[in-house]
Amino acid sequence: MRAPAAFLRAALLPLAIFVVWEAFARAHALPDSLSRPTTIFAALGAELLDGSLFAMTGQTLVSAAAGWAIGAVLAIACGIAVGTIPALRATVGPALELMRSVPPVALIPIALLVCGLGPKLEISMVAFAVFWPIIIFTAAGVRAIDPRVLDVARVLRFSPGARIVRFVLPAASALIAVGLRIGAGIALVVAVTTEIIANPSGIGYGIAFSATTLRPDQTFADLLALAVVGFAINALLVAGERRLFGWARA
Amino acid sequence: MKLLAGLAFIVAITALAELLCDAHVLSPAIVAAPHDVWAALVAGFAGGELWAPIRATIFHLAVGWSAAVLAGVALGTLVGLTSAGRAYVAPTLEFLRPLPASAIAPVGLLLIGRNDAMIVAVIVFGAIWPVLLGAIHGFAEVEPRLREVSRTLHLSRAQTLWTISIPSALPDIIAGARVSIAIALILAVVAEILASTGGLGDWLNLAERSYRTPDLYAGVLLVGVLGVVTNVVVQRVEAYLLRWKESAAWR
Amino acid sequence: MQQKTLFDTAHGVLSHTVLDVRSVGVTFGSREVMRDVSFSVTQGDFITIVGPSGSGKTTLLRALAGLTTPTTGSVRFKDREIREPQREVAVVFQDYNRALLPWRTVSGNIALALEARRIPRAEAPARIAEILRRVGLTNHADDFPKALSGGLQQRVQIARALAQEPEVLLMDEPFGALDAMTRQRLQDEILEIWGSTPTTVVFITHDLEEAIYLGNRIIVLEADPGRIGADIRVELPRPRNQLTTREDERFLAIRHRLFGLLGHG
Repeated sequence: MRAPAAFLRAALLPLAIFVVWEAFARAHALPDSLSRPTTIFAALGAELLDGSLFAMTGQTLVSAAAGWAIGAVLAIACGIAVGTIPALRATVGPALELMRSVPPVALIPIALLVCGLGPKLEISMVAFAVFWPIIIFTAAGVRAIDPRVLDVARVLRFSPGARIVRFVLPAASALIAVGLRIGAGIALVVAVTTEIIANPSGIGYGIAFSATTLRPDQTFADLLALAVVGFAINALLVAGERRLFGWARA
Repeated sequence: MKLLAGLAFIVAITALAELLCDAHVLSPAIVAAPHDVWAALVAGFAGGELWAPIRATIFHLAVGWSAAVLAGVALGTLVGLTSAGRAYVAPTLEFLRPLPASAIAPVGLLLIGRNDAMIVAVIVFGAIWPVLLGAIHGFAEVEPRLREVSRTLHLSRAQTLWTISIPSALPDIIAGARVSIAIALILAVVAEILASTGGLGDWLNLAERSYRTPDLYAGVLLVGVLGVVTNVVVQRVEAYLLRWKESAAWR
Repeated sequence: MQQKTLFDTAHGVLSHTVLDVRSVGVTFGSREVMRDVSFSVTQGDFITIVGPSGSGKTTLLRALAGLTTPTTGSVRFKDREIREPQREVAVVFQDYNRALLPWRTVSGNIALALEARRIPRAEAPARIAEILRRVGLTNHADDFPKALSGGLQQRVQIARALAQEPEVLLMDEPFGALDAMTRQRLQDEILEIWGSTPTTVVFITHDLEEAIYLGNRIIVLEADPGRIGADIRVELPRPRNQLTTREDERFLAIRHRLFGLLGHG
């Protein structure tokens, strides 16, 4: 009986907020910039039915996933290089930490110049943004490998390429996984931010467009949809990491 | 040593960029040559046009971030220290946590309009999360033995809060504050772009629209510097406030 | 089995009963931790409670401290039933590293007790200095707990307890986590502190010899469930001495008896 009760208690606050908001909206006239919960849910329903919500969500998720994948591949490759070659680590390492603190949003105008509007803009922004945490975690994961593991690989006469695939990657995988998860969180955020500021596609653009055209019902509906998507992705990532890499935590 | 290596790398990259720009390999419409960026910076500071945006962004950051920290601690206290708060409010907060904070910016535009208040409000709404969640987590982890100590000493509820709960949660709160300032900077830029009323975000937006690449890169550089400086400042404060922390076990 | 001793019958006439344990039983869920424990503590006593694990020593102390409410029976401080921690009762826990505030210095930790008593800020420094002197911590006044050894940290906890100016001092295996030499030093220090104030001390330990060395009365608990096995008067001279007292015939006699009751330490 514990889980359902906890869920009910958790749902109480949002329900209460909706009820109060709705009651207030029915009793008084709301300004143009607000709408009542029922209208918002109606707009949400309409978007679900006519497929526009799926289209928007799909655009955002595809761009985020593509950017994440591209950035991850590049970052893991570079990260292995940085992690294994001490000279590289010394020169590039501090710069990596520095680049990590630069907010990606500041680079959107530059990316706009380079890529123009369109999916390429979003994907490159996401790839750029996830590159830094993933390369840092990959390098750390490689650094943390027990040297004896690598010795075994060499003694067994594996080629460098095979060594990387069969020994380095699995051994560093726990930290790489953390980097990938952080990257996935960043991917969604950067994709949405790019859509809000520049790129006319996806949920972020939907929210921004609805806001500037004074459609509060659609604005809040899309916001709610985004919250659900974000929550679902985060939950999947946490569960996935625990499943795949639970052994590393022991 | 690390700092030198980092700087050396940056100098190298800058030199490379300069070479490539001179050789017309990189188009000036996309990449501004480093000496042009430098010229833009100098002109902007000397002529005064850069001061207004910098001041505006720093103002937004200062007000927004400090309000976010205070509100985050206050709300975190209410939610984290009462079992009612933990049961009824915390789950909703957990649900909202993964929501990209920049999505609040258009909503702020809708509700408040294009002005400083909107920018600060967006910052507060986005930057409050790490502090709030840090405070809630911190309060949940207070050493149970210390709760018993407060009972045997007969500390009042206010005293317990002030002498035990808050200092105990402080590391988590400050860690949240550090993440919070990074988010605050991002939201400041986003909100300023949307509001078009000033600040570095607005500067970047206008420079991009008119293809003034040197100004654009100058602005990006300043935002990056602001990010690094704010991070370092908060880290220093954190180190000072947490100087009592156990670094080596003394047994 | 409770032995009637002199002070039990003399309370109210010659001396005061400060703690009264009446048929206390404690059950957690389905586990009976303590059954029908009764004894009285006279003001000024140094009582040691000794027993094997599972005898409910800590549970008994927590009941005296007001941190746990007995399932049956009651604990009384003077004439009040204890349901909550009492101001006049101070507690020293075994895990000193978790019982001190790591973000306050030694002086700050002692000050906490004064703040709880609402002692005016102006008076605090003098009182703290005096307590630091009594426990020998003057040189560490501005150190944080993390910089101190276990023995010193436990002294800080004792100092904080003293700052409460308690009538009763409850100590839960306070020296259990310390090395033998530090333990002996602190044993003598606590005896000295007890000797110079009208405080009553209830001291829990699993160390038989420590129990005999410190107390003037030993309550022996048997295990499963916890109940009183013996109540022994200790007639050794004071001041106690780590060498001579431990070689005294009477010490050895009690030691034999305790071994017989409890098997081994």
